[in-house]
Amino acid sequence: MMRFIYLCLALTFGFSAQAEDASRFMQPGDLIADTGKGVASHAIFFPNMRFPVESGPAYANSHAYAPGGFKADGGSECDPVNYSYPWRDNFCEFRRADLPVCASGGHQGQDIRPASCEASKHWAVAAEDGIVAHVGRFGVTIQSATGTLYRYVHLDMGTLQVKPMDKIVRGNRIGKISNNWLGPLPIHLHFDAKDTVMLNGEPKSVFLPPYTSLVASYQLIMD
Amino acid sequence: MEFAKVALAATLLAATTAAPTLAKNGVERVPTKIDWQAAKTAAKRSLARDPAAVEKFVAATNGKLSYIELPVLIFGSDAKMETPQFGSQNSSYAAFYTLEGAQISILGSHSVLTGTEDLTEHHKATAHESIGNGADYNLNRYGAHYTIRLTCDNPIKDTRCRKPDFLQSVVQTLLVVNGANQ
Repeated sequence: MMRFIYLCLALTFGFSAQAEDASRFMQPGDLIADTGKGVASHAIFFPNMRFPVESGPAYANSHAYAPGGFKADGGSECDPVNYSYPWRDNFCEFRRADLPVCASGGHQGQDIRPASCEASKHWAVAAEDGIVAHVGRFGVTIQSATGTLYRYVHLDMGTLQVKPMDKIVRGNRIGKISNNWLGPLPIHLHFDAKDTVMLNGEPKSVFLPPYTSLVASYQLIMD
Repeated sequence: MEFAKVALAATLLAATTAAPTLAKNGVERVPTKIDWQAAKTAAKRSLARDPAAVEKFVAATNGKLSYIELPVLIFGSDAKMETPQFGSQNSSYAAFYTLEGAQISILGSHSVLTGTEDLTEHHKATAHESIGNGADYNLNRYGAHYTIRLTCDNPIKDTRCRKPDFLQSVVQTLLVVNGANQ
């Protein structure tokens, strides 16, 4: 009898931990209704990835369709709902042309809000060891040793800690998360990852869903 | 006995509210085989076609080329760009060029991710694709994979980033320079 009770307790704690995850992270591919059709894969494409924001909490959700976004019905970008769990995938969200791996929608990465609604306060950091392969006016691309291209957009480029061809180590600071763009934009990091996969029997370099890798790497810095 | 019933009820309740786990993984990285014979032939042609660009680049890389596990592509003289900044990580490399009001890089690697059967190619992957702050141009050559990434200071107005013409034209100038097996 005692063994049965212990088993029940162990299972209860295990399921409770998963339930806590369910309260923090919605499922991959579960986009806001009518904003595109996401990728429901649970595969972690970048298992060695470090969460690209230095410290938590952070909130993965759409900057476009949430309060204060350019496709939202008004509201403030600093609305507490934008700075709350659960996370929501927005890879494939409607933007430009459809992506190859999206049934519909073209958002190439994930929007991530830092801990607070303050520009140029929170650091974006390197997801893997690599080199600073590209620096533009709005962001940076890190190339991992194996060739994954991690892109960080809307950084405050005045805070940049790196320059082209610098070697960078996983977790090194890149720049501060901001809203750097041609027009008004909510404070967030656009983070995406491009790599080569086999599609229809041919190798193709495409943007891949980062959501599961972000969840896994976030759990490592928070739990 | 009562406690056992409570424990069982709690377990069932917890099980029904739990989320499916996220981490189920079969993704692996596999190196791709380089066709060095074809790359060597192309490198000879490149040297004959544009010796100034090739020699200037090789001199600027300080011997780094001999460790790179894939053919290195750079832009030729017709692209009218300065010698790039160059970074090598053996199984990948980056060549970064700064232009007036824009930046462009050639990013090479030679591996593929497998275990990605969950993915479907719903829309044909194209060579040229907009990336918001610019555009990418993707190509496979000699068994290696290259992304040419272009960003513009004003990606809305700058036609180099808005239209495929510029990237298509500079791709035509690509030269094969070197790699570990040459």
